[in-house]
Amino acid sequence: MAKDLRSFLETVAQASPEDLVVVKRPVDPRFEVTAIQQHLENEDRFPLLLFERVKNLYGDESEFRLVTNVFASRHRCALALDLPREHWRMETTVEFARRSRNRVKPVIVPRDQAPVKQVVKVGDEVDLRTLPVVTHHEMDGYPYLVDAVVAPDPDTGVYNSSHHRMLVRGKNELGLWMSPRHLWDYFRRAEERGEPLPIAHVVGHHPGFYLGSEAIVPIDEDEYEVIGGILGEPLRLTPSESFGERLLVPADAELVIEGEVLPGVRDAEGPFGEFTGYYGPQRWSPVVRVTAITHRKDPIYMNILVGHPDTAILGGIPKEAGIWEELKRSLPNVVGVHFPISGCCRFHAYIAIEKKVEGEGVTAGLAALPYHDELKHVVVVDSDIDPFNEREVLWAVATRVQPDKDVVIIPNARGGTLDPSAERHAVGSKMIIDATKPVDRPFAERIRVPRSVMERIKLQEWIS
Amino acid sequence: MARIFWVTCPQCKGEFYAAVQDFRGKDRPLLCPFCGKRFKDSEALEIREGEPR
Repeated sequence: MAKDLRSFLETVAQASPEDLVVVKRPVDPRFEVTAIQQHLENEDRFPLLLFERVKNLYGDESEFRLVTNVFASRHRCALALDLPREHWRMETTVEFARRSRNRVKPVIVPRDQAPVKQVVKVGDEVDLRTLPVVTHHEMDGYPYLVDAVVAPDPDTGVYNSSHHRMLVRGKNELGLWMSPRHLWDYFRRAEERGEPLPIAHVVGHHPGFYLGSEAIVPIDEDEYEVIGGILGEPLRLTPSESFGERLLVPADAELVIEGEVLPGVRDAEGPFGEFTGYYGPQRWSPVVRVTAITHRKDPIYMNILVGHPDTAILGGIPKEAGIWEELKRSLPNVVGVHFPISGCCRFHAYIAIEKKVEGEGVTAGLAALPYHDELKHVVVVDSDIDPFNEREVLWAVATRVQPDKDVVIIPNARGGTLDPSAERHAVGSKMIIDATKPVDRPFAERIRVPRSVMERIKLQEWIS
Repeated sequence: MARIFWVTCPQCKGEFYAAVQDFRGKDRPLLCPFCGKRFKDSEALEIREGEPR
């Protein structure tokens, strides 16, 4: 059996049944799903939620169930990479890095072997409002698709898979906003020729599919192969209804929405609550005409709660892994990398090194910054600090940093397109905080209880 | 992030923001996320925008 969302739900149910919460009451996708998630988040709880009865955009009970919060726990992301759930720290980062190096070519299966083709709607049967598309935050106003968009490069045919906000504007129309990255470049080239760009929105697949979609690879490398590497098996593809083999879509998804980005057409889209925790502004964005909807029988709709740990961790692990790979080339003494949730798993990186000589702290920061334009603040710590423990990292900043000597500011660098603090679009400054201890002069020793006593004293023998 | 301006919908008085480069003085209809009203920036009940520091 190929990996899919259902196999992952079974994995979670077996590995940590308390981590899967089933909601049986009917729920409205307009703010009610996200209100439940926000209440849980306020209590620092991030279970995988399965809603058994969910309404569609007409207010009728839909045929879909809905899952969300899939990525809101690193423990579950460890499971998605076939690791034990307790291996959620660097083990998960290193495993993602290892898998992203091992590309696996996809296989093509006929339509009758593709679960996503069990129900096919084309032409007048297409109606996005029959789906339980979630409206997330107050100023979004409209329901948004937020899973992965796949498309073939109009010149080379290699596939990109990436996450984009898509406003549901009506029966068969979407608004699509793209940062200036690969999909944007595909569309730019297609539009210059006056051609539409075929795309598909892939809803509800194994989380490895979406983690793989967040891997940062060169534009000429096929992301279906990257996803295969992350899954550890070939991704099964099948021809789309609208474009045949010109657009291959994942056969084991729960739902695929096919369409084309129209050349020369724009409309208002947004605001939308973004990964930063702020609304991205309304934009004049490309328009997608939806041409087909295919899904499984008894389908499951998967939503990702943008602006919360669900989307932060999803994007963070692949970036950690990428920077880990980059740093290992130039700094073999790097021992840990973490993109914390406090920085939306984008803006902050905590890097731990086994420091040998002066200057390595700043060098680690300089090596990390170019990896992704959203990365803004790098804190470099010694190996006695766990980069996954933010309290320890900030303690190192408090006790090992003199701002006039240990902070480096780099102005006017390329920045993230959605950083609300940036005064120029996609341009901003960067900061490296070298919170490592000096090695060229004596430095205060960290307090500790004698190790021999710590090992002799077993807590459970003293305190029940 | 793109420079923004806050706009007040002339129909429902809902407030939201949009990118200056996409809509200010561009003759393009905004879309109110609260009531669906289409209107140009010149028709807004109120516009609030500031200059960068």
